[in-house]
Amino acid sequence: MSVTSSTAKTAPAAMVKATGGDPRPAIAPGFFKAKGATRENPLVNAFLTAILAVGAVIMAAPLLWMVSTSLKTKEGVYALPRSGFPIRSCGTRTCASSTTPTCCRASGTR
Amino acid sequence: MATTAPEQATSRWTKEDARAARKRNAKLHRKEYVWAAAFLAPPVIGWIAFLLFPMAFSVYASFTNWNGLGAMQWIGLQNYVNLFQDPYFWKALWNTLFYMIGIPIGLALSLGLALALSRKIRGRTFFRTVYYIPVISSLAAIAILWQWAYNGDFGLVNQVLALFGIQGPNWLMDPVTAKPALVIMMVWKGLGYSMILYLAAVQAVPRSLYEAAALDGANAWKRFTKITWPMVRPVTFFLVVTNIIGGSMIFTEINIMTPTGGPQWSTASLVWYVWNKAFRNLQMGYATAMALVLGILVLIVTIIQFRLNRANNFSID
Repeated sequence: MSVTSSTAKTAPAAMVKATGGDPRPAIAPGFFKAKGATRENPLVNAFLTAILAVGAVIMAAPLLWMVSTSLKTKEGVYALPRSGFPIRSCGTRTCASSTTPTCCRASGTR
Repeated sequence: MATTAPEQATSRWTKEDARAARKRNAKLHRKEYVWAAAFLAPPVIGWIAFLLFPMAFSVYASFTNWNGLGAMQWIGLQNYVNLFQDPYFWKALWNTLFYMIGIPIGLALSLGLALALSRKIRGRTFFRTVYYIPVISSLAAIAILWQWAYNGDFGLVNQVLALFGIQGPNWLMDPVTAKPALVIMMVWKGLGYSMILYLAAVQAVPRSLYEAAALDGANAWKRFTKITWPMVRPVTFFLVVTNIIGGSMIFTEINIMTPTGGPQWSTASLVWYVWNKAFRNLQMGYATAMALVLGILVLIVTIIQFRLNRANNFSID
């Protein structure tokens, strides 16, 4: 396999140089960092979690939007002061003055 | 064995015995052959009736002028001649190829997701579930949902873009944005599936390889390119092949979201055109010819892929 052979080829040269020609197997460069290299960096994980959360919102948004649409009346779906959730879109001033009274009544009774 | 061998050596094995044994064997074998044939018959008959016959029939139908019900009129290669002069065919072929750009995008994203989700991240089960939900959703329902989401006035996509002060286009009504809109939807839908497969592959990579590489001073990028990427190669190959085959057959989304082939025919896929010709225009002969050309194209691409994969095969031993 090329993976192990290529890394093994480069390592001994560096080892020999570090130990001045000592034939015994020496500590490879990066040995003391190696433990940290396989352990996960909490900062990286926090960063990844943030990205994953943004991605999760994008993945879930259309489905959540579908759920919110299913809770609206037909007028509410087409209502122009658009909002993701029916409750929020109806209690506000924009909705009261809008031309979709059905939407407001529907949520007012809630 | 040791005790029976001398006995056999002493007893005479005559021609008569041999013939009798052969007869016995033949009888036994014939019985077995009957049973074997009985068990093999259902799948073989099914394969002939539902696969071989329709395929042979469609080859024949592609040389005829046929509306699907009436008499078939043999016209030789005329369908194929028409096909290669049909601008709609080339447009549909180009559209189908365009949808394929979603494949590398989807694979890169899902491999990234798999790498991130194979780490010990808080709530990773939740993330895995969320990213997988579109896969288990019905494609027809998803297509209708996205058709609404892409609506220029009420759609979710433009609502979100408006939050950032961007006036979004009327996605599915604009010949420039219709295809990318469909690609985005397909990537969204297929991400979870590729992610799960990559996740399994990434987790199956032996930890010792990473430890050895880290001891040798390989950084994270080197460990990815020299260990992870080669080790998940079979999965990549599988996904590329199945995605290209699946992508060349794309139909449902197109037919639901743009039932007329989209603005200026910009979303019509090849299979959609085949279906349209066969069942709307009732040109069954022409449609079968097109379907055969598509099948041959997919076959060629798949053979090339298998050749390429064999060329740089490797084993871990």
